[in-house]
Amino acid sequence: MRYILFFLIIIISWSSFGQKISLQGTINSYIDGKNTSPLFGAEVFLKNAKIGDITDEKGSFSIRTDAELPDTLIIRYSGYHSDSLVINEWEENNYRITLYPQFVSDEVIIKARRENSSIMRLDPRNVENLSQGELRKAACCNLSESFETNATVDVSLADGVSGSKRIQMMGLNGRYTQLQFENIPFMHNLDQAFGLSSVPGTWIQSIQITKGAGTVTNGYESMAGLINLEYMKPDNIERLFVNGYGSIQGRGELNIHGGKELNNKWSTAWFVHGASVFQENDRNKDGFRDVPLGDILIAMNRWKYSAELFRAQIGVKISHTDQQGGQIGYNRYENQASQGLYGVGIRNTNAEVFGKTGFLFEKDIFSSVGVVYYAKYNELNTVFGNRTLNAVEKRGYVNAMHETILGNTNHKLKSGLSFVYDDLEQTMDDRLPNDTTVRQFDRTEIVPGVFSEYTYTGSRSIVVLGARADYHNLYAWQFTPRANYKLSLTEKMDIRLTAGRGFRVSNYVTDNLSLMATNLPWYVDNDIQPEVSWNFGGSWMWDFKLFDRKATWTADLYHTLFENQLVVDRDESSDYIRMGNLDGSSFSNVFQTDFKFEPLKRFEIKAAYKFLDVRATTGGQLETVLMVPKHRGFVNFAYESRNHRWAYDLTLSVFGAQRLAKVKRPDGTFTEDNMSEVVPMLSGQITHRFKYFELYLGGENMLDYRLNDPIIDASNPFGENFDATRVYSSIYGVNVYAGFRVSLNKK
Amino acid sequence: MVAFLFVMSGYVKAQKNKPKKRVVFIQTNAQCGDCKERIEGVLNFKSGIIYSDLNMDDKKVEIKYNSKRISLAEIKTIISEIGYDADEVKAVESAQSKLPGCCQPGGHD
Repeated sequence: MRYILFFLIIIISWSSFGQKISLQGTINSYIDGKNTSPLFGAEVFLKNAKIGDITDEKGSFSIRTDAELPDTLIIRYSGYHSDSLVINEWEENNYRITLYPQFVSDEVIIKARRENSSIMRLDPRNVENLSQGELRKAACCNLSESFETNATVDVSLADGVSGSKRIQMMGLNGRYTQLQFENIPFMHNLDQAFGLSSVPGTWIQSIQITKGAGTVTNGYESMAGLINLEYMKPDNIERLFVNGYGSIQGRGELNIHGGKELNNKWSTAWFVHGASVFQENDRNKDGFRDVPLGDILIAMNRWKYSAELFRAQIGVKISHTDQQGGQIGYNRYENQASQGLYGVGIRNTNAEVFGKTGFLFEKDIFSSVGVVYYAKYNELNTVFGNRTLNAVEKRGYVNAMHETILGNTNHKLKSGLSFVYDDLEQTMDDRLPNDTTVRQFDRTEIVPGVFSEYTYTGSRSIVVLGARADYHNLYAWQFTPRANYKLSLTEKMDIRLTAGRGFRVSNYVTDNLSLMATNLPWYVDNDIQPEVSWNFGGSWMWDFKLFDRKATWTADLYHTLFENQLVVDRDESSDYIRMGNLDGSSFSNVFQTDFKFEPLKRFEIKAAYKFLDVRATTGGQLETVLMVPKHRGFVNFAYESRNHRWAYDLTLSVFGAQRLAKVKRPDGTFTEDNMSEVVPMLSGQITHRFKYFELYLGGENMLDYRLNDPIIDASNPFGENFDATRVYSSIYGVNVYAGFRVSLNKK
Repeated sequence: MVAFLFVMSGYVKAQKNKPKKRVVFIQTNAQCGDCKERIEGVLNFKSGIIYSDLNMDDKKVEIKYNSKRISLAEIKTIISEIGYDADEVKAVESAQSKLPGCCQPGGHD
């Protein structure tokens, strides 16, 4: 939340006088939709003139000075989203400005801004925010699918049989992107492969994507980036929301959530999600299910308590996934051998409890203490033909952070302590034609840590310097320094720089779960060391007018260099997959440019191009990493009718050629041209709104691009050549869906 | 199928452009984006109103409506019942007092 500082321009009317300006007004704190209270001690200053005032008990301020106009009036108060106001010309006005506490979730503010996806301009980091409006552009059923109208995060199928999706950021697998909800890191180990589907899209209020090493306050794991999601909050959730979805794949979903303010201190929200795939799909007639059958049930309940100086939240989330893919007819509940069918069974059960407590101080209004708690119990059982994995994970996490200012609000300091406990028991049993191995991989991690982050906010620049030290019970001390710098070149143009170290303890089993969809044996080196990376990057952002219309142009360049990595080597041999420590080099260079333009009112075009150069030493040579396109293009058109009752969206994503693993065909020859085709993905959606509900109809992969023969040796799934890991695009082809959303807002 | 719907909705719109449609500008005392959303949110879903668009510069709401299904006086009454002035029709006081503090008269002064 702390990095959702926020740029909001309030349009003011004009009148012309001299250069001597006199500004006065009051600053208030947002309480709820109807009430505000005066904010005492807020800092109000003119950005260029560097002159300001602090509000008194009544929230009033007054500034009299000679100043060059236009200037920006900035209003800041610890624990609140900062606000700013462009002063174009002097006018006799009594400003009344409301600041939103950081405890108030973004929805309120996003409403005021009404942009669906945007770069957070006051944030020192390169953060892209996806609001609900953006998420609803696709009928995103779960977290992995919510990035489909976005160019920064790429989504693709993980393999050809499990139906699970993987994400990529900067050409690096999603495991190098730290995932967190409401600033609590999650999706570790067992959640790595299937966890994204346990976050229903309709529960998400907004998503923030940070490129490059993130803050140090939430751990050492963000290497390529950081994705934070905010669930709907009890104090501003709809009274009742119902979403139903159905697709021609035979996938049905129902999402219901609602909430209530019990009194002025307590509020609660509850969420239920049920999804099911009940129809057999095999368009390519290879005998394998294009989409696995399955059921998902997820429920969450959360509570919020807020008093003047104390705030607390607690929540519990339970999810259960049961899927069966593989050959048609396979039944997960019967013995695989007796059926004679290749099956993919996945059962993932996860229970999470989380909490937050925040303390404010009456005397020291600029300080606060926040403690975050998280615990999970996760059980995963998967079967891929004759390979099975049974695993249990127990995780606990506590993070306590103190936030204060040094002298004035230009200097802020966050510091704190964290503790991670993670206990993992994994048994992987391979009975392959060429290899029979039982791997027992158990691990207990205990990691106490300490961190500190200093932020300097100047009139044109922001500097963030952070570092953390963690003592890992298996890998001793880890030191993680990170720095961010933001400079406003002009009122409309910013540059940002970032550098930082990332550290991650790999788990060769769950990191590579999709590689269970081949009958090649895994050769795992002894003494796998943790992964360490350095990330350096810069970005440039320009808000300008094109033909007198709003436009934004951004460009960024990031370099991630691995000191060590768990390298999956499929170049050494086509007879096995080697996993080991990096021997050589591994890096990712990514250039991305985005352009956003509104040529007509309510008609928005977003276009992006990404160049990815991701290489690692495999098979003794520096090679392009498998399944990463070199070029990636994206264009999105969004139009809304004048009465807002119709909304249209059309997205074209193009994935350039990707290098694929060289594999042996059933006839004994090897695949020669190991490059994929260029994949175009066109999706579109129409939404029609009524007063209390809306209907949507959409299509995915509307050009019907699909792989005809995604699985190597599909007719002999227990043979040594069976391989379903060369899947780089859709198996199913065009999909059409429809659904409805009903929402009853609070009175 | 999707493309078909795109075409269809355009067609439906074209059909509605007949002379009994009128465009009016009504002066309101809206003050912020919230007010704009509130007024448009009600008007856009009233039958007879084709669109409403509040211009934040002059606080006038542009309304295109079907005069056979709703009258100008009715539209002004609707706006006043939301809690805002509509030309000569003053805001209904009980509705105005229920608006958030920032949207009441003087809230942004």
